[in-house]
Amino acid sequence: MPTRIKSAVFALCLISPLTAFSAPDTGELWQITTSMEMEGMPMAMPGQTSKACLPKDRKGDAAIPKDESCTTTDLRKSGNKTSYKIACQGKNKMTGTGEFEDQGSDSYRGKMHLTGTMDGEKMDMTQKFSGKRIGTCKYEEPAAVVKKYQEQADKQKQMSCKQSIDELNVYMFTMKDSPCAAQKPEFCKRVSALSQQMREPDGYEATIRKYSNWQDMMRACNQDPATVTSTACKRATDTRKWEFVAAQCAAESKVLAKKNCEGRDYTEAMESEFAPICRRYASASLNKSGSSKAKAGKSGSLSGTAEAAKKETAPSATDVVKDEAKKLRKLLPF
Amino acid sequence: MRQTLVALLIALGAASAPLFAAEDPFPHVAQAYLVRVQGETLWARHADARLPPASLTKIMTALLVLESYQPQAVVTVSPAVAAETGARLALRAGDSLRVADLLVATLLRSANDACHALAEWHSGNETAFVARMNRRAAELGLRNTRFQNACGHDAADHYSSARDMALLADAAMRQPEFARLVVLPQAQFTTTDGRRAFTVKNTNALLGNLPGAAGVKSGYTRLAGKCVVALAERAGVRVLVVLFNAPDRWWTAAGLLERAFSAFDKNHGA
Repeated sequence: MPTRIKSAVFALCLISPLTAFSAPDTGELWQITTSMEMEGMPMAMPGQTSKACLPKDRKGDAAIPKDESCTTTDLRKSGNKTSYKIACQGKNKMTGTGEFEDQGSDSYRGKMHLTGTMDGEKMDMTQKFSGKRIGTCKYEEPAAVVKKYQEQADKQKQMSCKQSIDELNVYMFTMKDSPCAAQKPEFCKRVSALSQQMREPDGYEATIRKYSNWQDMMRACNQDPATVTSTACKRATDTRKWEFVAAQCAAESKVLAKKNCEGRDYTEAMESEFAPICRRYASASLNKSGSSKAKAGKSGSLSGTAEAAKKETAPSATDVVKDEAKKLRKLLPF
Repeated sequence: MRQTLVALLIALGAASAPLFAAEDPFPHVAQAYLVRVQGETLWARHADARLPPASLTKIMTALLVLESYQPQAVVTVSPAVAAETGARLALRAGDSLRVADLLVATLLRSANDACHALAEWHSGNETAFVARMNRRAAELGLRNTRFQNACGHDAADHYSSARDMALLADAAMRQPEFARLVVLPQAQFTTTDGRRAFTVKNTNALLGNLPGAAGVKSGYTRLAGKCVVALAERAGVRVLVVLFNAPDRWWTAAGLLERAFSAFDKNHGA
């Protein structure tokens, strides 16, 4: 679609009547038809029909099809004709003049001429419009509608922030220009209650299972996650909850493993209360250099033939081939 | 000419080595080790080195017995069997036991007299049985394995490797009876005349202590040091660890199994 036509479609929308949903009696329901002719266009654009709830007697500029960005001035009524000026703001500014004529109390017709630029192109267009009263409706002032929408949006925001507090959605309170900044104290109050709950190992585990970003929550409320963990670990150590200590408390685990696992018989350790600690120690101890250096066995033999056995070393693949090559050299006649 | 041939042999040797050597992140845990996850080698150290396998040998003994299994067959203990040393049931010459019970004692208690009795029952004498063991090793493609006795006594030219033991354990675990026995914590049986009763406890310290532990066999001799083939399975994931001369074999096996499961989970987004 050529740019001019696209722009014209946009312009048509711009000056379409502001439609209001309505209930009977306080306003008049009008069917408004608009069509547009534009310089350079081979044919007129098809007309658009919409319904609008207008104030009774179409006071002021209510009968003029336009949207919120347009304002009318110099409304002059002479007999059944009204002339006016119109200016539309926003990205595509346009100005123009127009007039409409009442045709009894149930219909009117009019036109306006608008000029301006749209997407960098000059626009010159004429819009014709007509209205036909088709019933009654509940009219609301546009400002009241806007206020109503604003209130709804505020209510929605309140609900969204409340939900973010309930769900501890930390992002809603830490994002730039947070819509919930005002509710942050309430959010932090909940986080604080959670950190109290996390003092107990069971509460701690339940929390970290439920909130994978619990540390972000704590930091957002100036609480140190390490302190929260440390408190739970101390409690777990005092109450001998070794599964918890093994899973969550690295420092405590290390100390306990050194005391209760290291150097101890595996079976004995696994049968002790410190089994959870020792199970993790088994994994961690693999990287200890030197402590478990492999040496040849030194005592006890399955049989008396041990002395006859030759200790095998661990040759590389190349060493093995070199050895075989040496043997072969001896056999070769050259 | 000779130099060319030697160079060619070295090149051939290099070509027969694994193209991609497995990582060895734990060089101090054992003289040789192999960790496999779902049949793929994850970590290894000197996996093809020929080392004394101690009682891991009994995996082959059990495999041969199970491949011509007659659990109710009765074996009479010979003087040679009664003279066995090391871990044993203290069987006496003339005792009669069922093959099934001797197999239990061989796998759980690592009893040398029970193992020796099975070898004699299977092939008439231990020498003939060892020949069968070596033939079976060749069939399984165990290139670094040679047996000199049925039960794992240290002996010159009695050796195996971590990789071969993993292959042997695979073959043995394919025998349902083997897989059933190696996870038994203990078992009781008697001589056929009921006069002597035995309780044997499984020497595998991982059973009951490591989640998912599923066998297989431990071994120890002065020269071999502490050895183990350990298998664990969790949620369909199988990890096999083979350790030769691992001073802290149970700690090490447990640690390697845990690490291997973690590595698998990490790589598969668990």
